[in-house]
Amino acid sequence: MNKIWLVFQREYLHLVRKPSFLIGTFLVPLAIVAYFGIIILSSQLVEGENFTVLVEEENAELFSMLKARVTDKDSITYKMTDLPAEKIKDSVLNNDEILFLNFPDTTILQEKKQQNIQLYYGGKTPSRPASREIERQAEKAIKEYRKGYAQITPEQQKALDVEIEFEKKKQTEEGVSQSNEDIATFIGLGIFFLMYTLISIYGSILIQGVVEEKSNRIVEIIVSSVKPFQLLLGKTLAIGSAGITQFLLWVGLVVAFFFGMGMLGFMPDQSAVANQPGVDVEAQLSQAENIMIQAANFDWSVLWFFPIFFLGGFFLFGSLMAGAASAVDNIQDAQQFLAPINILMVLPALFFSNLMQNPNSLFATFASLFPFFSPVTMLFRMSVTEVPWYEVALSIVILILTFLACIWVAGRIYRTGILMYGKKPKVGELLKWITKS
Amino acid sequence: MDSPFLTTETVTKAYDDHIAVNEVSLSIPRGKIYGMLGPNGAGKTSIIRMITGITLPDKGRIMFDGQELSPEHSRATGYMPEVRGLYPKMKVREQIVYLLSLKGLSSKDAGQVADAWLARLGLTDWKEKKTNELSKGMQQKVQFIATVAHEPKLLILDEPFSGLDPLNAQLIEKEIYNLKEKGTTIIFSTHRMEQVEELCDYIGLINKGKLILQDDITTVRRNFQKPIYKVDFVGDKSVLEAMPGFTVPKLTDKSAMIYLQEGQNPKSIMQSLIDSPLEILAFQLHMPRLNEIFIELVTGEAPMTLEERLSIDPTSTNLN
Repeated sequence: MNKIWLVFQREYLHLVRKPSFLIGTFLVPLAIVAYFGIIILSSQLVEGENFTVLVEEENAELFSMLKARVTDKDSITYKMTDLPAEKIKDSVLNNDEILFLNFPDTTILQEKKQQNIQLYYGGKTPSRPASREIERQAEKAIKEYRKGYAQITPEQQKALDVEIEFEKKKQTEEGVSQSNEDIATFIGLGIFFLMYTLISIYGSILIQGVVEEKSNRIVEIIVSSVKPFQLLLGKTLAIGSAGITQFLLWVGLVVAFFFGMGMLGFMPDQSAVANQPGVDVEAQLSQAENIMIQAANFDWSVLWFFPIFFLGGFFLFGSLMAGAASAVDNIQDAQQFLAPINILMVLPALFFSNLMQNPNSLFATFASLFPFFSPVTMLFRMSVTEVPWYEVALSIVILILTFLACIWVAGRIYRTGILMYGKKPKVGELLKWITKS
Repeated sequence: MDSPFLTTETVTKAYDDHIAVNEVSLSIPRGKIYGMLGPNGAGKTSIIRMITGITLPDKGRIMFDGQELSPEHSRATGYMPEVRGLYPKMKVREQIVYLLSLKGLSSKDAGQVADAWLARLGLTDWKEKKTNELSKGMQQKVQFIATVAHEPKLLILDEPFSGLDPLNAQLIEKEIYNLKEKGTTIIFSTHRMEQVEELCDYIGLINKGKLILQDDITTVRRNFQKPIYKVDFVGDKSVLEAMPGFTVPKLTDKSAMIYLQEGQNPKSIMQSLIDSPLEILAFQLHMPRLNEIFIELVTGEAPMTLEERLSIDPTSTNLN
């Protein structure tokens, strides 16, 4: 144990003292800030949209309430329609500027607290500001509508509150698909790539360390004092911890950055506006400010899981990579063994759009449980949708069991591999190293 | 004599398809320098790896100071492999302290002995430099310090002089003798015979995974002794060739090797040389070089002709 600790100390300090570690520590937060900048910029490039929103005749009451809320500067007009569903679909499909707002049945509208509203669009996705505006107006209209039906007593006042789930749905010839370009999706995407990058970078640091130790022969001296498995474990733990350190520094720097912005007055102050009576808070804010507030409202607690999934993924892939690297004399020869591992790592990126479309599908659930995918996919799902706690727990347990198995296998290859020089071993030989006692 | 410090009892190690070490029973005497000799690929490194506990024997066992070898003994072992290895980007002192800590020294003790040794080998000014900024020779010294500074009872040096300039080689040699004086048992693996002749008390010859000879060096030489004498002289060399009682396998203008015929007494031969017209400057027994013995043993053929034996360059470095 003591020896693992000694190896850990050396590897960890060696790594975090490197200039490249310092550079990475400052560059990545810059990239994160820039990423937010791009999200904000892209959301501002959609001025001048004009939408006509169709509302069905049976919602006539709601329609009049909606219409009443529309002001002159709004780019949205509501229009009542008596067309059958088929025709509505056609008009949405045929004109980018025509949207269809679908309310629940009257009984649900009057009685249920949870309300589900869908906004259908045909071609181009309505910008966030536009759809937010529609959502806000719809929410207010429903509240007003319900007041009219309720026998209001103070006790029942609370029951009148509504929770509205507002969905944007893309109308296509075949049917309707979910649109999900929330801020949460952007953040989830960011976390996905951060995780992926961090595991790859630290994995390759581990590979390099193993190959270097082997090729400059220091490993023979070390393993005359330390068991190969202790060396491998110490190294892996140290490099993983350096990764966590870097992650924490990133989070710290980004938080410090936005906090600093707030101190300097660059951040919108939601509460100050909200305190003025009779003011529609969100309407007072610019789109950029809206995004920042939404980002601030994002459930950042998902980041608590980042270190767990990073370490899990890193131990899993890192140990396999280290095992492969120990079997050969140089990085080039390692490619043959590293390729399958890399493919496993890259696969989630290939079906990522699938995850984005349907974060709750059976496939997405599988991907977030399968240990070779879960490190990158689970956090994305957690960012964009509600994942049941038992799925998260199961995913972590499976990941831990798998990486323990991988470290065991890697340790077996490693202890033989690091002392073998010369010819590149065949896969069959690796299997023999694993199975022999 | 004391019981041997380390023995390997019919130790065997096989890799995939070939047997690297075949029932080798070494007996390393306490406090002596034991030269393990053999061509490259003979199995020396495989034996050393088992003694250092890096690998386990397939068969047989290793006794370390009376106990069966276990991981605890790594504390009492110092090992310098043939191909040196240090972390290139690590500072000299830090590196030594790390390697010594792995041997079980506290970081404080490791720091103290590291400083003492760095001073002793003239590296104090370099201790905060990165290892790859040092010359090869200095790196070798660093390696040596990391191997011996924890005062191991057993020191294993695999080709310790390879790549060293004569000055550094001499320095290291001196330190090896010092360690021996202090009672360290030293295994010295090499294929360079002349170093063994200078340094070792005992030798073991390894060839193709087998131990083919093991004894103290004077006994080995005596056993392989042949009645060959070296004669330095002034005068006409043809006189020598004409003399009875010996043949002259090697002859130059100033010296000759003479091989006494059976039953001849060196004393009377010397007398007849003195009585000859030649002025005799020296007459001495030619000790067989290990090279000669080794080649004779490993080629496994009939003993070489004298001409062949004497034509071996005693400083030749490679037996392969």
